Order: sequence, then structure tokens, then C-alpha cells
Amino acid sequence: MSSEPSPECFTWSEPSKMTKIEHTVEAANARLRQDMLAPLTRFSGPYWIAASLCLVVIAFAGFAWANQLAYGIGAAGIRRPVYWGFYIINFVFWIGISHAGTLISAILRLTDAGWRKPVTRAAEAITVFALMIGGLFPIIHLGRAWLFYWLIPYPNERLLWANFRSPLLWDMTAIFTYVTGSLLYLYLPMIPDLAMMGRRFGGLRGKIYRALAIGWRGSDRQWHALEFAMKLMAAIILAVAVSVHSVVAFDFSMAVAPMWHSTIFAPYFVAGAIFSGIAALVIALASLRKFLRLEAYLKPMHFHNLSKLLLLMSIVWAYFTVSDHLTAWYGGDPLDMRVFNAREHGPFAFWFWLMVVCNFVVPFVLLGIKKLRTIPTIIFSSCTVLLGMWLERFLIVVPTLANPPLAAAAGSYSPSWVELAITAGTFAAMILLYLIFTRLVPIIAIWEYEHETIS
Amino acid sequence: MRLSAKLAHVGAAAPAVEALVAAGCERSAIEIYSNEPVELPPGSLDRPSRMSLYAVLGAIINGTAATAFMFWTQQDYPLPTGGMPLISGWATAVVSFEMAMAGAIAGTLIGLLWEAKLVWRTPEGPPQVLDGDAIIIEAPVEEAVRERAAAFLHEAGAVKIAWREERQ
Repeated sequence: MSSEPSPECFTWSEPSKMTKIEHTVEAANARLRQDMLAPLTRFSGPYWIAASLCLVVIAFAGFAWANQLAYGIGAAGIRRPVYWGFYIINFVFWIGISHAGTLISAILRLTDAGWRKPVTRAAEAITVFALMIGGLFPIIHLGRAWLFYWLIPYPNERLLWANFRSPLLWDMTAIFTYVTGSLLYLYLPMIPDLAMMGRRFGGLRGKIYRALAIGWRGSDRQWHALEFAMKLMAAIILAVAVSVHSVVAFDFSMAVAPMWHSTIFAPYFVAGAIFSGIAALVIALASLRKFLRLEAYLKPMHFHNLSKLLLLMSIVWAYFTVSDHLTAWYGGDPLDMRVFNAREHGPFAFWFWLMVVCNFVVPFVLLGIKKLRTIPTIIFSSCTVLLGMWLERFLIVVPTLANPPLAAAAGSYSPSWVELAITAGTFAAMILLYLIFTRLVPIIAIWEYEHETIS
Repeated sequence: MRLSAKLAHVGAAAPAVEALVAAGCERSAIEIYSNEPVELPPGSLDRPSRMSLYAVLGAIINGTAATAFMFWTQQDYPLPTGGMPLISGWATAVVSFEMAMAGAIAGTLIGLLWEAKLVWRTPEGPPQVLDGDAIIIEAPVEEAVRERAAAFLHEAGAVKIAWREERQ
């Protein structure tokens, strides 16, 4: 780190006088800056080991994808009648995880929840990375990935235009808007910290930070504009986040297929996305707390507040699941009942009841009983919720496709090594992106946290 | 002359603004530089913003453009719809909404860059705020009221005061 440059153009004429409280605040904030900036220059052995392991898994996933590109989509396990498998399950799962950041951060920002400050940047980063990963899956699923640009409406020699009636095109527009908004939502509150790092770091790194700070000087006009922009962005992003997962739900509910053609699918998916998003956030925060030694900033209170949100969403999820299944069962439509029975006591029953245990029983017991609600149990519940929400997407996609209206056309699905490798690769990519991010910018917004201390 | 005063903490900002106004400075010419947002009482240094307007305009422009694009595309390059209307209002509305939101995001970004004078370089180079909790208040002060402004500011809680020539 370079030494701080002194103010240009003028010199101070009087000695500084500070009260005891001001010294205390100054010391606390100096400690904060030191704690936040230390990981940016500290590359320990475990960090390199973790990054290398992730790279190996990603490389293997890349090899698996290359194999699929070379030999065709048949390399994946998707077969007639199950044309959607792990790729679409992962797509829905990762888009759901992306709701961790932007949506949670926007809700907490709009409601002015003070405790959100150490949490928001970590959450917003999850959104951007999860969207980058989730957005890849439709392209992988295409098989001929190099033709993905056919989805984009542009004048072409084939005189063909994208079908605006297709929910897949809706997906593309919704995800484009969400990625753009989330990137900005992550970047804008980072500008003051980038300016501060631009002053602290020398060389190329400092130059990059200063360029990214786009001329931030910390004037009250700039602060006012930034805070106003963040509130506005929070309101916009809230609408976009809800619409994105609704559009993902439309991919299913617009098809007249058993157990898909449901009016509650959009809110069901949004609730599920927030649910899995909170679980992902808890795991990310717990990892950051442990490996970056942020116990002084990410306090038990943050985990307890998030666990209450997780418990609430677990109950909401259970309510939607019961509503969806009860309506299908009471209707007794033969096509619906075939899928229903396959899920409840057929070939998918084990996974269905495991999902119920993971998404409802475990969080309800561990987070609902105050004595049991500790940081380890909150982390454990979050892990089960992530597993349960992945299973939920699996149980939405596969049983319906495996039981088409024509009973003789029924089939089954098991993923190939290509799908498993690519799935593992995306989890490794998420971890690697996070590892890189924590070494580039402070994981807690320094200026927001300082503002909280001073207030 | 341009006055720059260092205040030890954010609580001194509001009295310092009033001190400069009492010394004859224009409220709109006063600037505060800090490492975190300074909350001032209403009427002290109000910065009216048109960012909401930019966001709404962005939403209207992009939403309308996207809707028009889809309308004419669906009409001029018709897809086989099996006898259903060529233009689907519901389907178009979903894309129109997303594009309107994209326009609102772009409008907000442009509004922020413009109002915060980011990217654009200002001719008057403000002081650099160093790390720490100190804040700096700046204003152009007439030569005649220089002493008075300094005295008022010291009374309001300024710990250091500096002067420099106005840059042209």
C-alpha cells in the first residue's frame, strides 16, 4: 500500500483539536478500514489451495461441456420424454439463489433496517455471480451453444425474428435487465470505497480503483445523489427481481402440462427464490466470518435476524407447497394425479419427503425453538434448505416430463457424467468468484458501516 | 478566495453551514466533503434531485421503443400462429415491462452521473478528503468578509481553516 497523499492546493493553519468521543470513533473507523483492507493484500496458503481446487473442478466441467459440444446434446442424460434435466434445474436453482442479494438488500434498504449494512455487499455479490452462472445454463442446454444469439431479436438474412410469445425470450429480456440492474446495484455503493482504495493503493491497482471511482470526491452533492440513486434502484430492482422469477415460473406454468399449469407458480417461485437466497447468504456470511475473521462485524445478531427471515420463508414455502398439492389432489385430474402419485409415493417419493424434511422440518425445529437457534444450527438449516430447494426444482421438472399425457410415452431420467460435472463446476465457479471478489474489494461497505458507527 | 475548513466531526457541519451563510456566503455555493454521508437538517443544504424524473423518462422511452419494435416486427414478419391474432398483447406486455425497467435503470444511472458530476471533471478542483472522520467545508468567500467568516467558522467548530485562490 502506498502512503496517503497530502491535500493539494492548500495547507492548514491551526492545530487539530478533537474530543475523546471523536478520537474513539476515529480509532474504531481506522480499525474497520484496517480489518476490511487487510484481506485485499493477504493471500494465504489455504486461499491458493481453495482457488486451485475450484479451478480443477471448473476445468473438468469445461472438459465435460467441450465433450457435449463435440458429440452433441446426447452426451447429456436428457432423453425422450424428459427433455429438461439438470441444466434447467440448475438454471432455476441459480436464478433463485440470485435473489439472495438484490432482493434482500433492496427490501432491507427500503425499510431502512440498520443491521443490513455489513450484509448487503456480500449479498449483492451473490446475486451477480449466481446470475452469471444461472444465465449460462440455457446456453449449455441449447446443445449448439454457438447459436444462442438467435434468441436476440435483430435483422438477419434469414428474415427470422425471435418469437415474442415464447417464455424463453421473456427469460432473456428479464435476465438481461436483472443482470444490468444487479451489477449497478453492486457497483454504485462501491464507488466511495473504490475512491478510498484508490488513495491507499499505488501502482496499477490504485489506478484501476481510481478509474472505477469515476471521479468520486465525497462532496455532499455526490453523497446525496448516490443515496437517492440507491433508493431508486432498490425500488426498481425489487420489481425486476420479482418479475424475473415470475418469468422463470412462466417457463413452466405457460405449458399445459400436469402440475405445471398453475396460477400460483409465479409467487411460489418467488417465495422459493427468496427462501434459497437467504440460505445461500447465511452460508456465504458464515464462511466470510470464519475465513476473513470478521467476527467483530458479522455478529450473532445478523445470523439471528437472517434465521428469522429463513424461518418465515420456510413457513411461506410450506403454505405454497400445501396449496399447490392440495388443489391438484382435490381436483383429481387423472393427468395431475399421475404426477402427484409419482411424487408422493412413487419413484420420486424419497426425494419428495427429503425435500419436505430439508425445507420445512429442519428449519422449523432448529430455528423455531429459541434454545436450538445458534449459529451452527442456522448454518446447518441453511445447508438443508439449499439441498431441499434444489430437490424442489428437480421435483418440478422431472416427474411432470417423465409422466406425459400419453401414458405409453412415460420415461425416466438419470443425469450423465457430463451434467454432474457441469453442475459441480458451477458450484466451484461460485466459490472461486467469491474468493476473487474478497481479494478485490472490501466485503463490507466501509462507508456505510462508518456512517452507522458515527450515527 | 476559496475557504476550506476542516471540521472534527459531522455534528459540526450544520453550524458551519449556518456560520458561512451568516458571513455572507451563498448557500448553493457551499460544499461539504466527507468520507460518509452527512445528514443536515432540512433547509440547510437541500439538493433537489430530478433523478426520479430521469428514471420515469427512461422507463417510458425504452418501454415505448421496445413495444413499438415488437409490434412492427410481429406485424411485418408474421409467425404462424394457427389462426390466433398476430400480435399478442399479454406476451408483448411482459417484454415491454422488462424493457421499461431497463430504461428506468439507465435513467437512474444517467441521473446519478449528471447530478453527482461523476465522470465529468469540474473546473474547480475540490480538496481530497483523506481517510478519517474529519469533514471539509468549502465555499467562495469575498475578501471583505474573510476574517468574519473564519471567526464564525471557528465558533461553529472548525479546527483548521485554509485559503486558496479561486481557480479560473
